[in-house]
Amino acid sequence: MFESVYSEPPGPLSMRFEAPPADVPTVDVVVIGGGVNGTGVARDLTLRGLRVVLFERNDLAFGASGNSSGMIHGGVRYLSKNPSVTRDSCKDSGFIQAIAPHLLFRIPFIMPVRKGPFASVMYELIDAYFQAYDIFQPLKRGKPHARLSADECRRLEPGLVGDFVGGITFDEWGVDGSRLCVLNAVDAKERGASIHVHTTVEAITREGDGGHYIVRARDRITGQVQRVRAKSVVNSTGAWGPITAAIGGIHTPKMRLRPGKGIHVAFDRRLSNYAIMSQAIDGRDIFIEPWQNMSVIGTTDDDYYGDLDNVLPTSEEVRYLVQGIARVFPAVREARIVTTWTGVRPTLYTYGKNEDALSREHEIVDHRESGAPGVFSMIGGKLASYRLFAQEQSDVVMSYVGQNEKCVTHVKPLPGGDVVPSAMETADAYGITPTAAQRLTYRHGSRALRILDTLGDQPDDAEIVCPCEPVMACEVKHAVREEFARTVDDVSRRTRLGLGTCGGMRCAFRCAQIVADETDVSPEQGRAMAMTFLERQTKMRIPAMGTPQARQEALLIEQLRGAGVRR
Amino acid sequence: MNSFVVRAFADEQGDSADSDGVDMTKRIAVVGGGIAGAMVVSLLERWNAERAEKSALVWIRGRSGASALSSGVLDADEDEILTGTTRNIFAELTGATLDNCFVATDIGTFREAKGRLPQILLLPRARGRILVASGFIGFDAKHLSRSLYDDAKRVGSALAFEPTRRNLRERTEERHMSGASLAAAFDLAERQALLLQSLREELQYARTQSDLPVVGVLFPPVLGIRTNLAALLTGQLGLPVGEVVGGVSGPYAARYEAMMEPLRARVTAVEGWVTGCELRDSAISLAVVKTGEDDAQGIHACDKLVLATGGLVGGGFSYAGGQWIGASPTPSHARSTFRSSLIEPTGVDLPGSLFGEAPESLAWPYVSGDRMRHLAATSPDPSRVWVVGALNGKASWLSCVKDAERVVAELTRNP
Repeated sequence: MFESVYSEPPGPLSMRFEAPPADVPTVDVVVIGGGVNGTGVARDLTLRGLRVVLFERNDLAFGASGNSSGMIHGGVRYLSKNPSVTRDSCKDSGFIQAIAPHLLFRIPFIMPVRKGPFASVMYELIDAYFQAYDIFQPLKRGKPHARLSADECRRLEPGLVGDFVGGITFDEWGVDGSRLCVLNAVDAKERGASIHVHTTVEAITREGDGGHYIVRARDRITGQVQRVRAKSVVNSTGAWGPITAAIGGIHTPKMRLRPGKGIHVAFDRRLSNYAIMSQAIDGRDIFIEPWQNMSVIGTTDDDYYGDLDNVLPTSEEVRYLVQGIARVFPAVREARIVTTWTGVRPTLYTYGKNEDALSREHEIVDHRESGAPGVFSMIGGKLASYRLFAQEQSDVVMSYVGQNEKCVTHVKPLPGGDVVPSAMETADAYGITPTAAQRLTYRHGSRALRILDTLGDQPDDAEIVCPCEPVMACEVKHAVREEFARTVDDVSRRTRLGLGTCGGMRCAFRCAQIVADETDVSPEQGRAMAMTFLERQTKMRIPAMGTPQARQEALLIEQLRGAGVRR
Repeated sequence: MNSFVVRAFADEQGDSADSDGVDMTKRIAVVGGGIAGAMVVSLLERWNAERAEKSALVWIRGRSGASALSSGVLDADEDEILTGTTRNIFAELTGATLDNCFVATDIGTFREAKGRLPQILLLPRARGRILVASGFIGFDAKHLSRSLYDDAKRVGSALAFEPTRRNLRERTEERHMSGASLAAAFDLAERQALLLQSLREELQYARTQSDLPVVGVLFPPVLGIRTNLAALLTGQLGLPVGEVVGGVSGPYAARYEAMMEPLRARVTAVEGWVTGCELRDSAISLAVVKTGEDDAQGIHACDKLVLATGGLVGGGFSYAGGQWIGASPTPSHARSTFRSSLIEPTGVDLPGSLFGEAPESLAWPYVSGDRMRHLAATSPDPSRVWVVGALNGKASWLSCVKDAERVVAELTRNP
């Protein structure tokens, strides 16, 4: 006899038994959520031989994973309270560098220390703190910190202003979080997993005998419904976690989160080769970092109660960040913001603390106590520790299904991570521009060559669809054929198409044509995809634009109207 | 785009200093290089020609903003009809045809318009096939044929579309050219001859494939900058050849500038940016920074001034308050972010907040009805200063032309 998985009233839903439907495919595990934790678990379990299906309601990396600061950091902030976390973070950073060397890039930081009361003492303390951090730096191929005079700081970065006691340098590693998710998903697929994006889970029910779960999911684009039978279900939906659990009738205080909204502001170019730390007006640490081919300011941290599918920045948040960075690096005032991105951290629940003081730790919730053995939720966590979190979750699942293969995700390269081709040689060999080759090899590692090989049959696919990034037609096709992209927005997430100065005005419709042809949808649906993308990008951009950008925005909109685009 | 900032002149700059000898004593200055300004100049030129006592006319233009991006279709904000002299002058200036028509867009749709510039293909109403030129980068003839065929049904057209069998862009080096560069390449006689030959062969082949007549050939926006290649090919082949309405990276700005060259040559034109103006009892002083001459500055005096400097869309004037809201320090007072200024500040008519109007409250797609387009300035002295075109809230070319007609009528009423 089934009992409610969570008996505390007034639970509106309870996990129901369902008679076993016919013709339902059976797998070992259903993973819900296509962020870095979900795709990481899918990859890990697949590598250990389990049959896995992954459902993602939106797109891979749609949430916090694709909207983070884009760093695999060593956990320096945990050093004083929990050095073992720092050690593990550094160690895992080293592993991720090994399996995806093409995707990581060094970000050297400068932390200038302003003159003021106790500044000299503070400088010594910071120096000592980083001396302790240096112990772990080799684990992530980090360079030891350096202590700089004020003049040395300014020599490194002439754009710095202010009266400093001195400064500290240290380094972290940047990563494209969206690519990291995609590569994990691609590897899982190539090893047998089934990945479904834009597919929302509508119900999780138990079979009559109680041994399996039936997961019902609906494709949000086609409306098609599918069911999968699984021994275990992993809820890795980040900030959506409590909602997903509720779909399964699970209502437990253990699933409480304290979602925190963080925005980033992106500039059109690298304003400095160094990341620069500063303090916002409220004393919070913020930074501007060179990230891929742009500069990024991050980040805010505010409790968030809004729609998780539609998280938008505000101009107040943008001004808060720019003001804080301009205090030490005023060049940002003259620079051009091209977009913002916004994510919601699935921070563990605590009442009464400021957002910044919340733990960034992760937990695995076993819903056995809620009457749902084999159902697990991954809550909390951060991009930098995803692999470790996925390993821990996979260990739990393996134990539950009675198998004992060990994790190998730290030694098996992600797709394209086996060899990193030279961008210049690639450009020469395929007759493409060095910039296009550099960006392509960054995103795809050795698989860039596989993509470019398709030009032999389709030379016109060397067409530059997005001139800002740049992105070629062959890469758009690859994103659709091999990386689960189904919309323009999906392609953008994988390639950064449309995120440059023109905001997609030059490439969105061309990309949509290719996606429509590749996915066999009508040209009209393709145009709708493009408009959805442009609207979304405009919403992300407008809160950050200044007068010149406002003019350009209006001009571009005007030209879209001229071309007959209507909404 | 012209920059027009409210800034009173310092007294020591004088009233009528004239750095380059331009005679402004007869007193009409038109500021703005877009279609509204150009039409005011054209209409005044005609008016002047019909009078014994001439007025001096100076056209001050920096860059043309929204007008230069016009992709060749002509709309009207309202049901505006150009007639008589205005219509003739507009057609002469632009080569436009003013008729209700359907044109094709590069996103694969039919679009209705009240007129078109000469390169744009008028989609025939008769049943038949339109060949879509293959081989142009970013112009997927196969996809567009399918898309236009689908959309034709929506508007009740019996047209069929099919890609040409062969690539009409035959030169390898053109693979990496787009927009204005490629269009400029088709200004060359040698390149035109090659294209004509290819088209002849292609038409011959197409006619063997189906009994459905070929009624047109559709190109991306590449058919010349200075040459009206569409008309040339149409004449040579005996069937309509033209372009789709293109997008952001088209050759339109270059074409617009080429279109304006004859007018520029006929009137006194000053290439420069107006950076300030002052209304005095005796005259209106304009501070001009010339482009292309080491930013030479000068003061021009005139009696009547027409401002056609574009609105927010045209980027025609600067905005008071923080030039860049993201970087502004905390302001000391409430203000509207996009408050525009034209001697007397003209607010955007939105409540300010401590930090200024949030841009997201103004702009598409947040705001239905698009408030950005309705920003307009008012004249500080309606008897001497006229505001025309986008600066007056007009969004379309035809509306700007009608507005130019109105302003010139007012201006010439009491010369």
